[in-house]
Amino acid sequence: MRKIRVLIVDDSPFSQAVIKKNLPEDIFEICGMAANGQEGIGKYFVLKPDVVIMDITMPDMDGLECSRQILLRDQAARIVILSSMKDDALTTRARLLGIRWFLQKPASSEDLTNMLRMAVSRCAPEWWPLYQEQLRLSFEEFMSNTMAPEACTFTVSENTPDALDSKGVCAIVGITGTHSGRIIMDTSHEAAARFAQIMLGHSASAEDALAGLAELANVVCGRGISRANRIAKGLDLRITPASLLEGKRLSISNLPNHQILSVTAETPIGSFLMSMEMTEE
Amino acid sequence: MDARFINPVIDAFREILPQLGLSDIQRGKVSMGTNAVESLGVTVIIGVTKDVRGSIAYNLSEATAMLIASAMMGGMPVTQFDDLPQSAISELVNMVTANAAIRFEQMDLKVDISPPSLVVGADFRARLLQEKFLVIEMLADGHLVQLNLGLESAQPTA
Repeated sequence: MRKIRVLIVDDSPFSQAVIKKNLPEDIFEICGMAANGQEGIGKYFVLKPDVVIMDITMPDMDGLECSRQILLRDQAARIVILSSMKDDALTTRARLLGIRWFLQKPASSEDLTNMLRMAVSRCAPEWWPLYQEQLRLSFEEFMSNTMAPEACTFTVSENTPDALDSKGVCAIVGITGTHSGRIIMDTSHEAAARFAQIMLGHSASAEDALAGLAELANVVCGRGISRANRIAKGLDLRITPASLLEGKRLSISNLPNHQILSVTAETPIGSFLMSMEMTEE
Repeated sequence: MDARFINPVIDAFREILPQLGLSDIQRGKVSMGTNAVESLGVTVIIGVTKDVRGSIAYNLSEATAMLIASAMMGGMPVTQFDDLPQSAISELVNMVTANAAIRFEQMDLKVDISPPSLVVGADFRARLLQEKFLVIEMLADGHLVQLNLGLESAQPTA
């Protein structure tokens, strides 16, 4: 297997040496070292590494500015920030630039290796099946617990059109953190109302139907994402509160550069679809 | 809904849109919305989490979306609101919200944003986190872009 080519941008020769020592030679090839931001940008475009390890504090510009200038010309650049400083302000600035990978010094060889591997795995990170699996299980459990388990059948599909045409009501939950994406829960007005009726134990209004769907989305996503975070080291995903959409005709465009998987639950009260999308960075 | 959330979003809109080829940015009226955001044809929802939670729904007509997308693409004619202009509008929402997130950060509010969800259709509405939300009308070269802020502070207020 081809080695992963790494460019190290760090002004400290000592730090460069430690990073080098922590990168297993059978997996990584260090194609270059740069001691400041300007040199880092220059070497990036000459050497075209698979991934950059970027320090924050450097003499001419900080590592985030250096990253910004690289990403401006190459949006596909893979950058892992490795810095002694790590606080929420820095990680947010990094994320808003599109950098999802942030490690604090000193980082173990194992942590650094895992993070670099995740950063270069463009479309199918090792945890993507795990994330799908935990969300699917969470969805199936919730539906089966709400209705008789034998009454529900589930089908999984990777083949999806360019947009999701809603059956009438849907909840969208955003995913943020080490990766970004979203989950859509879609069904008809009638099925949402009957679902809310089962949950509440009495008749459900149109408002109850929407609240029930939001609850389904929040619980399924919350449980699925927490489980995935617990299992996969380095995965730190969060969810945003559900937004609801309803109407006669509405279509939600797929995310750009996405991976998608959908699960449909056929139940006695109607069909429910859960679509999971992750953006490729 | 915390009034502190208004200015960062307006300022972000004012800063980003001129960079995308729209020169005259005006603020219209600010009001309180109730229940649901009635779509003008194109509604883009972006989720917010951490110290500020909820979502922002950017609401505009398809004609406005095509005009803005055209300006963003250097005046390239846009006659259909298909993949390319849709992607331009999603990018605009992403840039404005990311810029607002940095402004929240300067107010000591950490936030993270989800990818934007672009929704098109007819006769549909979006419900945000709370029943009441803020509606800010912005005009970009005279075209209406409605910003609906359904945000709440996840921090206890001092």
